[in-house]
Amino acid sequence: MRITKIEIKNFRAFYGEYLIDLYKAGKNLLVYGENGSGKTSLYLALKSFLESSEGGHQFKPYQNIFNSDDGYIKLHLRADVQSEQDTYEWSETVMDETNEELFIEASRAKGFLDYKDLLETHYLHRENDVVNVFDLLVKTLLANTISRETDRSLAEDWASIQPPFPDQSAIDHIAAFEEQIANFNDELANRLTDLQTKASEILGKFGYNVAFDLDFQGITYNSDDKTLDNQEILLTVKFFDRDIPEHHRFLNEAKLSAIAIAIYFSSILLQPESELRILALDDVLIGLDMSNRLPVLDILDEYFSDYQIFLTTYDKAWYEIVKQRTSHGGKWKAVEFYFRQTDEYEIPVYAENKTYLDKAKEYLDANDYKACAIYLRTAFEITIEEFCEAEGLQIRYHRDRNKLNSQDFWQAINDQRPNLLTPSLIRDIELYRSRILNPLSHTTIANIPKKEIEDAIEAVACLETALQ
Amino acid sequence: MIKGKCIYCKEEKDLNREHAFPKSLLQKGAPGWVIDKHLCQTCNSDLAKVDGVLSRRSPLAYMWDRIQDGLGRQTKTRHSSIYHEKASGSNPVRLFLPNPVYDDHIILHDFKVESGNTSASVYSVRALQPQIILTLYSNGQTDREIIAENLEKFGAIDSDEDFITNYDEQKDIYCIFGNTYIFPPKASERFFHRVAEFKSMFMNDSPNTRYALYVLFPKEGRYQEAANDFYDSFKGDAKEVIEAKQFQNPDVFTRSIQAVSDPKSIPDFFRAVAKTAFHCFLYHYPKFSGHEPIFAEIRDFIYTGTPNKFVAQCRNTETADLVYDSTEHLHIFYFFLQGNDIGCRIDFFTGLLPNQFSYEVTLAGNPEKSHPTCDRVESVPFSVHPESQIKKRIHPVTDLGVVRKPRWRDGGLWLPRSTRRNDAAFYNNRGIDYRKDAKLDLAIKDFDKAIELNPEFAEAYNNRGNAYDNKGDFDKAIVNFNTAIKFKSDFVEAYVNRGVAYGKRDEFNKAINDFTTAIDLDPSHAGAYFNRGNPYLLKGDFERAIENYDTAIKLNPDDAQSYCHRGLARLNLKEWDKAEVDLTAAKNNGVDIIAAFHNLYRDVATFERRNNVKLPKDIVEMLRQYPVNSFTTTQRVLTADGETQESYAVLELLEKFRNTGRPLSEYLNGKSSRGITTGCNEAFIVEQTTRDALIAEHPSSADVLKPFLMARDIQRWRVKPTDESRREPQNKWLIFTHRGIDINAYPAIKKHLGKYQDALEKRSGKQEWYELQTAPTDTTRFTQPKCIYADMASETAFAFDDEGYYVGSPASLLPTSELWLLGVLNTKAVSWFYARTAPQIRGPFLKFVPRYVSQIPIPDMEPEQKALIHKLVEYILYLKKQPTVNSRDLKYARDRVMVGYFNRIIDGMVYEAYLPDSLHKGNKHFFQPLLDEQLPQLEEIQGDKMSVFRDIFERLYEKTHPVAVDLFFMSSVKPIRIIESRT
Repeated sequence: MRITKIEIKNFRAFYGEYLIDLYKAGKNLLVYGENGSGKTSLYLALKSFLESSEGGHQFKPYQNIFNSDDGYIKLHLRADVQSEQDTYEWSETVMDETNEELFIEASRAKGFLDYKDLLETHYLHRENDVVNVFDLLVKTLLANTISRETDRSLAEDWASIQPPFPDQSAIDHIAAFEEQIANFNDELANRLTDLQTKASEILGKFGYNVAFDLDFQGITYNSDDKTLDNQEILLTVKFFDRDIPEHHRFLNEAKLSAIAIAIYFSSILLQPESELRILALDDVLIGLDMSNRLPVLDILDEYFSDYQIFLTTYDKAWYEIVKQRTSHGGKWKAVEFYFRQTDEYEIPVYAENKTYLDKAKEYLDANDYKACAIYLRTAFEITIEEFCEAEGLQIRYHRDRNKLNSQDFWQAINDQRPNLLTPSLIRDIELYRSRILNPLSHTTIANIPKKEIEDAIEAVACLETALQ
Repeated sequence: MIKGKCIYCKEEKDLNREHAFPKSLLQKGAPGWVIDKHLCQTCNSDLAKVDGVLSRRSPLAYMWDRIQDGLGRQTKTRHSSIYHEKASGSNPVRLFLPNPVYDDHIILHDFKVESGNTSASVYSVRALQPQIILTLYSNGQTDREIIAENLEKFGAIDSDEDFITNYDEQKDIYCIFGNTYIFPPKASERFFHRVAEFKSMFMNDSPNTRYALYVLFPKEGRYQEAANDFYDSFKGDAKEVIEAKQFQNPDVFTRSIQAVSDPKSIPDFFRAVAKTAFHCFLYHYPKFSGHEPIFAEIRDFIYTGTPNKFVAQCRNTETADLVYDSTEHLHIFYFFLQGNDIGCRIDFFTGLLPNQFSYEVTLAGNPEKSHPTCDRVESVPFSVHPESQIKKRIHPVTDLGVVRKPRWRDGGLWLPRSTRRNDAAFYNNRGIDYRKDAKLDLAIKDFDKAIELNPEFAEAYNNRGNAYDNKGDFDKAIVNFNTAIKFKSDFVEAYVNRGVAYGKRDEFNKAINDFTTAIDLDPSHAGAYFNRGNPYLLKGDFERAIENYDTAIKLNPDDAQSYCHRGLARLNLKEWDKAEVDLTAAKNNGVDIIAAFHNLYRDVATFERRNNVKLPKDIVEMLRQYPVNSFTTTQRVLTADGETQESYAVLELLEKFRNTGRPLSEYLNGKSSRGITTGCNEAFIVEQTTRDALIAEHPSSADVLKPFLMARDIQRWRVKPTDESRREPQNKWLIFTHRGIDINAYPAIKKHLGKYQDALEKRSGKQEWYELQTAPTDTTRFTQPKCIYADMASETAFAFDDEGYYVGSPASLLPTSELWLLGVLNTKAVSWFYARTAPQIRGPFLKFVPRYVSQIPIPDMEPEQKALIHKLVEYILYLKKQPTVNSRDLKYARDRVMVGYFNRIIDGMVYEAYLPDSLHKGNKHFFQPLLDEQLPQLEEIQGDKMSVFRDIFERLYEKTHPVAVDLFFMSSVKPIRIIESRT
């Protein structure tokens, strides 16, 4: 069972309607997106959609704040290429389509990890290669994993032993409480045993010939101070290969991130598998250095081949690498989300299977000048950027690539390819750049005659042809 | 109509009669009324012209009517101060509202005052002794609502005698019209000196009580001083004294005081008015659309505008859309929507004070435009007088939906109490609905209320009788039917019902008499014949029974019950063929003939033995099946409002559980029973060391020292904690001195118990001092293998004991050694069911008592399914005895997880047994894959059992094993999601 199409309307950052086609085969999705471009919204759309199956999830809080039209998320699914396509919707008005067993089970077995989950690795206290990962595991990575014998998640078990602690005199309650602590310890210890083996194996794929040990001695209740003591899971690394230089510094943030990812992956892999299997990783690889990112792709390939994977990143270089690496086999689709801000709203720009210019024309026909201008500007900017990149033009250096603006590219083209564009085209573009093709123009766009916008589209179309 | 001089304006006018008061107040036993005075319509109506109609609403005026009624002088033209009638049809009658002018003083006697002009209108009784007259309006209630509440406070008032009680010096008080109390001299005097008591009795418990207090007493002597103190102590309480008059004349000294609650609440009142209007409208137009602007306007002033501003705004709003008009006591609020197609007018009648009002909603629409929800003018009185003809809009409270939901006391909607009906018929009808829904206590409450409002309401007595009958309280039922018959001697149904109740008490002759009376009254009453047949059937007079059933069937050929019973009667006469025809007919028409048969004669064998016959095979076949559902209690958790707390899905699921099995009690050889009560644990329960010493002292002690368990020693599966960390000392022994024991044969025991003799003798019960308080003489229930359970646990925790422990109360035991039953009981499914059908106590804990435990439905299962559960329970019981499982060493965490997982597998199987369709539909299967596993029985396992279990566990725990997969995703099946949701 795989997702073949995602439709999103007015969900969080998504302003208006968006469609991502994953084709009949239900491809994996690689998303490049600038900050604010909606990649996290896409991640959350999938997550919320699945979690809405557990009931009590309102669509409303996720509604795009600039657009009051009722939003929705629709997933199209196919059991396989030959079978019928089913569509399921989750919105303010349609709330029970996700209550299918299919989604409830998918939600139980899903893997959703985002970069925030891994931030914790930067704050871990470590001493002599011993790191206490209790909080990281109990409160973040394993919190949602569900016990096979009690059917409770670790987070629930943990919550059940939080204060207020029972009164000293309530013997029955203390006995029950201590029973709960014992259960928590058993549950966690049992999970760690399984995880340790699997995660070490996965960590091996990163090229570290190490095994790690998770030492958990059990929480104890200190009834005098009313505290839960020994909140410790000590991570130690055993080296098989003594050649690793500076091994006492082995556990840096990047490696801890790798270990965290390995542990998270194993926790998913140790669960029974649902029919619809989704693994979504939102920017989680940024904590890794480049040499550790590529192995992740191998791990996904090896262990999660029957999952549908959603991978997002804001790192363009990394995106290009992954895109290139995954371009064979037809299992992946790569898309790019851009982010455009106007004085009134922010909008991710994404043109499924269409050029931005076509999208702009569509919006013009629908008399949505603002959205039209945004796509037109995107078309313009992407065109000149790609040209510069393809031609290897020198661009003004900027430390943050994202701070480059269209002027930098436009200038480079005019300076370094002086005779490529006709003077009249340059003149037109200059004109529309100030009138239409710039972020500040969106306020006044409504006052610009339709004809002029049509001309601008024509000019950008000419530019595209010229720069082909 | 009398012409004469008005007592108020002194003008010659058309006068009404007004202001009566029983003479007996002044002189014991004196008949008649103190005054029979007159006042004019004009000056009186000035005060109430908000209605545009004469409407005097003083308590006295109302009282007058009651008196007229009581005297049987009720005429068609009622007293105008209460009712008025328009030329055509009836119009809503407003309930009594206090009139500030009239309420100030009670005029008892025409008395001329010579001097001064300010007190020219004061007329007072010539009081010979002090009297207090008190009128209470608590918490915005209306008089009628107060009546019910206060009746309980004043035991002296006989509720049977409406609201006016004859003066009786022996009684502390008596009351007029419910909330007006007159304290006879002795009581008045007593209260003078016990003001605090007085206040706490009448006022302090409702801080918002408004009270009007009149004190009448002779001027001379000690009374005046006492009265001043009395008065002052009240004055201090009042947040605002709006009136404090002092009238004096040579003979009488009176004072009156009125207090209101915090005047700041007045703005809140306007807000409340608006809110009510809003909710009224929503109630009548739940699907409004297109009227948003006006609603925004209303909503704004409800939720954001200050009420004063709202009033100011509305006063100026004279548009067609929204009109607000008000006089002192009436607020009219109406609006028309969408070009006057539809409108709503709400009239609020308010008393002087913020806590009281009633209201009335009129809906109007344009018939030509045929508005979907309103095509006519319709008046909806929300305060309907009990005797009003307008009944069609009297809804059960539950129908009021949006109007009712937010309760006035939770600070949201301020809902006037007057929306409650004061109509006996209303309560009667609602009671009938409740009874249909098996909400018997609520039904009885309503019938009580109906009877209180109309003490001669025969139908209500009859219905209350039925409700008691349903509850199984036949004595009370019969008393009620008696009363119903007393008030309505030709009440056929009451006779029939009483007969049925007599029948249930096995008083067959009385029953037959009643049915005969019913038949005499209504010879075509088929039900009476049917019912008369039953006692004959039970008495064994089968011919007469059949005669009656014949008639019943002749009168009503569709009466399947009569066929059924006739069939049963014919069985007794060995008319097999006819019986079979009857029974088949009954069965085909939906009668549960099996249940009917079993009600009469436990089972086929009993019937055959008793009648010394052998039933033909085909009839046995018809009758010998287990009843589908033989649960005696269908518990529903009800909130105070009588609403079922559980959602429909939950109730449906509970019902499903009940329908898939038979109650646990049917599986037990004996009854579930409580453990032993010693009456003095200190004496009877001894430690190991004491036990050894007692035996050393005299060997006979060993015979009566029994291994003993307390409730707290019992956990799920296992009976005795063996780990050291438990606080409870272990190895307790019970001195089992049962009734009739020869204590002298056990000298050491006698000596030991002798130490506690004093305490032991103080125990209640008839036992000798050295005997246990309760202890069965038959001890096999303890010595045999059995299941036991503690009285409190957060989930079902049944343990198995085959070591012959004696069990102490409040723990109980189930006389069964069937391990599969134990397995079923220790599942989430049963825990869930039990938590919803049994009493809950103390936070997370459930109370386990035999009465409810024996009602747990046990699903029907195939032998091999039972065997499978049996195997797993055996595993668990074995594991529970292992040191690794009982330790808390995390090295062995997986062994403990194994126990939990085996328990979870049993959970899965038991779910499948209760809800096979739901699970199979969700493609979840447990029995089949586990049967395929061919798990060994415990005794078949050779060698190291632990390692075999670990292998089995790892196999079943493997994430691809179908059992593991289905367990993990089990909660995607809806019923299981309901059961396992932890929200």
